[in-house]
Amino acid sequence: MVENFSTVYIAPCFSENPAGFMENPFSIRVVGVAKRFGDVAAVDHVSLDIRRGEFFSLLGPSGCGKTTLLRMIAGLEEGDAGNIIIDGSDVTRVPAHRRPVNLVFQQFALFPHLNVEKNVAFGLRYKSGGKRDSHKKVSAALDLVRLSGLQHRYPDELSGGQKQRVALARALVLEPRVLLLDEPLGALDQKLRKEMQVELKHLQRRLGITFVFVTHDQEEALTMSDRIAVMNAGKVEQMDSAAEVFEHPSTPFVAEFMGAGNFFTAKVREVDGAIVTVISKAGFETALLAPNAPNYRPGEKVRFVVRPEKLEMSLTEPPPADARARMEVTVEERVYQGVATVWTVRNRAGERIHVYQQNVIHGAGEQFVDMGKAWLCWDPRNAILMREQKA
Amino acid sequence: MKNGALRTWLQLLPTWLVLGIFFLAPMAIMLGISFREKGPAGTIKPIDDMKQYITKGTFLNNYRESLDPSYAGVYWRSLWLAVATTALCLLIGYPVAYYIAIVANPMRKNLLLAMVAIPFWTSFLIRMGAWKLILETQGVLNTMLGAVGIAPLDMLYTPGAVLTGLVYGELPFMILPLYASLEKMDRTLLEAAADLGAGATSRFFRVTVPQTMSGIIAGIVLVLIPAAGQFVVSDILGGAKGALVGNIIQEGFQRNKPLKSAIAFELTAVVGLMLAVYGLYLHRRRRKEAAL
Ligand SMILES: Nc1ncnc2c1ncn2[C@@H]1O[C@H](COP(=O)(O)OP(=O)(O)OP(=O)(O)O)[C@@H](O)[C@H]1O
Ligand SMILES: [Mg+2]
Repeated sequence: MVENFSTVYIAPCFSENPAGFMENPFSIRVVGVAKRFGDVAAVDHVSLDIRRGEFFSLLGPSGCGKTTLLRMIAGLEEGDAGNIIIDGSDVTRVPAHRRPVNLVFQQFALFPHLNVEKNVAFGLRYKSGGKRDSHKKVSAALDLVRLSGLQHRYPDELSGGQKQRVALARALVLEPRVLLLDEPLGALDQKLRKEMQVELKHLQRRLGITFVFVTHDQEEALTMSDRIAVMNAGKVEQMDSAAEVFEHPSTPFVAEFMGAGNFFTAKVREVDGAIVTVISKAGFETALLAPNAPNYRPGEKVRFVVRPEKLEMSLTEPPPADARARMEVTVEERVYQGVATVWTVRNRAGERIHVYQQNVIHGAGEQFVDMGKAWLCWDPRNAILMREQKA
Repeated sequence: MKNGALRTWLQLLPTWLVLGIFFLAPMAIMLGISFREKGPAGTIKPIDDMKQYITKGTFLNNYRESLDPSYAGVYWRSLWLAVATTALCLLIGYPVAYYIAIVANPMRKNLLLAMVAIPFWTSFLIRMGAWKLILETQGVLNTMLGAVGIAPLDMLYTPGAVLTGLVYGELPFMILPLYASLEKMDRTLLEAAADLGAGATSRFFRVTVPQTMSGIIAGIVLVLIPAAGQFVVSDILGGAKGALVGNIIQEGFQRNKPLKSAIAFELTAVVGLMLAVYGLYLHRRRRKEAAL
C-alpha cells in the first residue's frame, strides 16, 4: 500500500548527470522521513514517490504533518531520519536555497517592502541566466496568473486572491521542476477558491511541472489531483489515484475522511476466492468483493463501509429477485441541503447511517418524513471491506 | 458635526497642555531670548526702539556672532563626531540586537536585554569617570599595554576618547529599537527568501534590513540627536581639544544667554535638517522602487 518499494536506490552521481534525471520517472522520492517536535511525531517515517509532471496531493486533517513534510522537501526543516531525493539526487543535506523546488506558503509570505513586480523578480538573480530579460520574465509570469497591470501595487494593497497569485508567480517565474503548495487556497472564499482550483489545474497541465499540493479539503484534493496521499498523525494511510482513494479507502480513517462514515460491524463467515461473506451485527448476511480476500479468516471481526450516496432508501423491502444487499432501518433525521437531502437512519444494531439522496424532483423523499421504518439497499460491489484497525 | 469637532479638541487638550508647558513654551522663550542683546552681569538688555531693532537687524546679532570663524573647529568636530557615533552605534548595535533577538536561546533573551540596560543603574557621570580611569596616561588601558611592552599612549583628551565615550553612552539607545524591530519581524519572509534561492548574506540585505528599517531609523534619531548636543562626555574625556557645541552652549550660559540660545537653535536646525534629508532620501527610495 504505502511501503511499495523495499530497496532504496540513491545515486548521488545523478546530480552531475542531466541525462540521468531524464530517465528517472520520479520527481521526488521521500524515503523513511521522520521529524519529531518534542513528544509529537509530526512526520512519522513517511515514504512517497511523486512522479514527474503529476499533480500530487497531501491530504489530511489539521496537525497531521502536511506542512512539516512539505517544509522538509523544501529544505526549511531538517528531518531526524530518512532521505529526500529530487530528480535522482539526494538533497537531504542541501540547504533550501540550493534546492530546485519552490514553495508557495500557507500565508503567502510576500515581501511587504517590495511591490508586486519586485516580489516576483526576487529569486531571478540567483538563477543562472535569470537576470537576463528579467523584466520580460516577470511580465510573462504575471500574465500567466492574470495579474498584469498590478506590477506597482504593494502586497498590502492586494486582495487575498491576488496575493495568492503573486506568491504563485514568484515561484513560477523561476521555472522550478517541482512546485510545493501549502494550502494556497485556504485564505480564499468559496467562489474564488473554486475558480483558483480550476486555474491551478490548467496551469499545471500547461506547464507540465510537478505539483505537490497540501490541503485538508477532500473535495479539493479529488478535484485537482492525479494521486493523493492521505495522512493521519504523521503517517501516510493510503496513497492512490484520486478515484481509488475515494472509491476504495483502505483504512477506516481514510473512509471516514473521504466522507464515507457508514461503518457496519460484521464477522467473516467464509472466504471463497475474492469473495468474503460476512454476517453483519444487524443480522443480515452479505457477500463482499475484496481484492485482499485471502487475508481474512472466518470468525474474524471486520467492518465494511458503504458511501452515503450509494445507498438507496425505500418504504418497502425490495423484491427477493433484486440482487442488492438490504437492511431495515428507522429514519431519525432529515437535513435538507438544496441539491440533496441527507437522512440519518439507524439499523437494528443501533449503527447510525447517513443516506444522501439527490433531490431529483421537488418533494423527493416526502414519504420518509414520518420518521418511520424504511429499507436501505445497495449494490454489494459498493461495500468496502476493511479490518478494524490498519493492518 | 460641530459638536464632534469640539469634543475632539477637548480630548486633545491635555496632550496640548503637556506639550505646550514642557516643550513649546521653553522653546519659544529661548527663541525669543536668542534675538535679544545681553546686558551686564547675565541680564538681558531692554529694547529701546523696536522699529530700529528690527530694521537695523540688531535682533540677528547673536546669529551673526555665532558664525564667527573661531567656532568653526568645534562645529566641525561636533558634526563628524555625532555622525561617526551614530554610524558606529549602528555597526556595533545591529549584530548585538540580531544576536539577542534571533540567535540567542529565547530563555536567555531577558537576561541579555537586562545586561544592555544595566549601565543605566549607575549615574552617567560616574561611568564617564570610569572611562577617564581607563583612558588616562597612567590608566587601566595603558597599564595593560605596558605589561606587553607598549609605551603609554595619550588617549585621554582626544577626539577619539570623546568618540569612545559617546558610542558607549548612546549604544543602548541603538540596540533597543533595533531589537524591538528584529523581534517582531516575520521570520517566514526569511524562509521565503531562502526558498527563492537567496543565501544568508542576500537574505540579510534584501529582507532583514528593509524589514527592520523602522528600528534603524528610530535608532539613528535616538542616537544622533543626543550625540550632537552632548557636553558631559566631552567635558570629562575631551579636554580643550575635544570640546563640542554642547560645551560652548553650556559654558557661561548664565553670562550670555542670548548668544548661547542662538547657538542652541542653530544646532537644533542642523540636526533637524539632517534628519529631514535622511527622511526625504528614504521616501524617494520607496517612491523610486514603486515607479520602477
Ligand atoms: N515548530 C514546531 N514546534 C513544535 N511543534 C510543531 C512545530 N511545527 C509543527 N509542530 C507540530 O507538529 C504537528 C504537525 O504540524 P504541521 O504544521 O505539519 O500540521 P499540518 O498538517 O500542516 O496542519 P494544518 O492543516 O493545520 O496546517 C502538529 O502537532 C504541530 O503542533
Ligand atoms: Mg499546515
